[in-house]
Amino acid sequence: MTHFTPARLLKKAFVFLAMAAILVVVLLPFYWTVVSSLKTSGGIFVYPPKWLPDRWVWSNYVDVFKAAPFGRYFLNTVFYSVSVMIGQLISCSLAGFAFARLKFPGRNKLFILYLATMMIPTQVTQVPMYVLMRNYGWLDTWMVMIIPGLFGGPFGTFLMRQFMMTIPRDLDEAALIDGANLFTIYTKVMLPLTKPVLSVLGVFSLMQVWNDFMWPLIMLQSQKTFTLTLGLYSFQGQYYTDWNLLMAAATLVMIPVLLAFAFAQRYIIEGITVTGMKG
Amino acid sequence: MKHRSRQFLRAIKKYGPAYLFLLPNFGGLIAFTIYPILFAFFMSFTDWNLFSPAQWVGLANYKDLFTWDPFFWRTMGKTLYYVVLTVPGGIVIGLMLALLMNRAMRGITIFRSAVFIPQVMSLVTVSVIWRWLYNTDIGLFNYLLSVVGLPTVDWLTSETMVMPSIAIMSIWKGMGYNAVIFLAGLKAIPSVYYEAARIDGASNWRMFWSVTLPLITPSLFFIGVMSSIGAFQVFAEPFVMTNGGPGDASRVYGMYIYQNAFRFFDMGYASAMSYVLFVVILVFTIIQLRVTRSGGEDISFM
Repeated sequence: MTHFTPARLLKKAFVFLAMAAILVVVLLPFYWTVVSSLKTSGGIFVYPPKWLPDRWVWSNYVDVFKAAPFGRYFLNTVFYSVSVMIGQLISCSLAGFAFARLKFPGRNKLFILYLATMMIPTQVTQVPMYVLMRNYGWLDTWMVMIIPGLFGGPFGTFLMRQFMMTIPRDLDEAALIDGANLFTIYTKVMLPLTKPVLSVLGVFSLMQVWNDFMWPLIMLQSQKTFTLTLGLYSFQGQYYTDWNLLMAAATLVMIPVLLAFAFAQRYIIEGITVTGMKG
Repeated sequence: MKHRSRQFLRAIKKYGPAYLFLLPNFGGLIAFTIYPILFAFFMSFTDWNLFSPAQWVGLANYKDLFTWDPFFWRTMGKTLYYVVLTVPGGIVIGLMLALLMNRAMRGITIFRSAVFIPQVMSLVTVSVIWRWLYNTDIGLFNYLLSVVGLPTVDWLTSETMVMPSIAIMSIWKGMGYNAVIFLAGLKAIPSVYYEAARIDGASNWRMFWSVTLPLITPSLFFIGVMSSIGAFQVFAEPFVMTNGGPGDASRVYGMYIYQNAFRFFDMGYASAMSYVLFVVILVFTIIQLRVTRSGGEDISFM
């Protein structure tokens, strides 16, 4: 039973209008990016600007690929982020299992140490990490992008621990009585049950490496090692006011993220909800 | 002797597996977080440019920062200004968005996802795009302003507007994230509180202040702390959009650390700066913790 009183109708109209306005605010910049990326180098400077290009210049995208190796950047970024993600999932779930299930001397102190390191701003580690990576000879190689991230950070371990604490202990005790060792319990009991949080952590670490800017900026120097974000930044340095090409490059960088988001949005948003509540 | 070694063996057998599980993660934490943190602390007492041997200078770097370097205060001031612009703004807008989304309606999850899109984009992409939108002569924003008859704005080219412009972009980028956190907080409020308040004749406005706001304090605290920590470390937005300009109007603390470390190779000085930032963030977090705690106690008395 719905009453269409004027007040209720007004409220509905207000909600609808507010949402429409917000959608415009959120999406207009992206629309404008794509439209600008298809304008001619003359058309981009026409004022007042047009909402649609006169002529759709798809060749802007070809020009971007000719001007900078965005395909290479893409492959690099996939390689770095997927490697780090796999490493993180393994290391963090192993450590999370130890914190959630095993008793050992110093467990609580160690856990507090983990929480404390989460407070440290990235700037504190960046300068010494640059020195270390330089000493190891890893600068400007894939190693600097992958090895430090491979072992996972405190955040991932914290997330895994919190989730594993919620799994009933009866399950692993039953397995223990059946003669399973700890590693079997970890692989056969815990990992299947932690799939939801593993996918959240996987998406997070993927996004983190994919979108990171400061680390590659400091550690990489040559185009053949660049990530997409660093590649876009260096592209901007060369084509500072070639807005149509810049927007084409930005669109190229956005597409994989948008596609991934379309598939993983549930994990991302629910994952953020969970970490936000537990944090 | 024999007894003790047997005890040791037993301890290894008992606890060894736990440490093995921890090893990759904890080893990585030591090698790539804890060791660098200690290394930076040591470096902050030296004068070192990477190429000649480091000189121990004691507290000179810290002393220089506070008493000699005018850019320390200037860039720290810019950063604080950015924190003050983005954190409360982000909280208010995120909360308003969450209140709007907190209703059963067809298509609401699609709306939620759409609002979230800027959050998953890299800062560099968003900054490149907004540099174009903010263009003074032919940018979209000034065009829209002129269409409705308002004066145009020198978004990124005026010394007074550049920080607010960057802050607006940051709020836009983060509002979907904040809204999702607040929404989770709102959904966790049992509806009986609202029903009781309604029976008491409370208005919507009154219910927001007396029921909603006190009960989402954990979300408020979480977003307040996390976004301040992030805002103090701001780097990519001004670096990509203005490179600190015009003049040094948008040179924030993170950029000044970057310049000292990787332009002037003043590693000791940059390390000292990063430690100062750490302490500032720590103090700020503790203050927020105190404020929220005392707020919570007030509520329980009501």
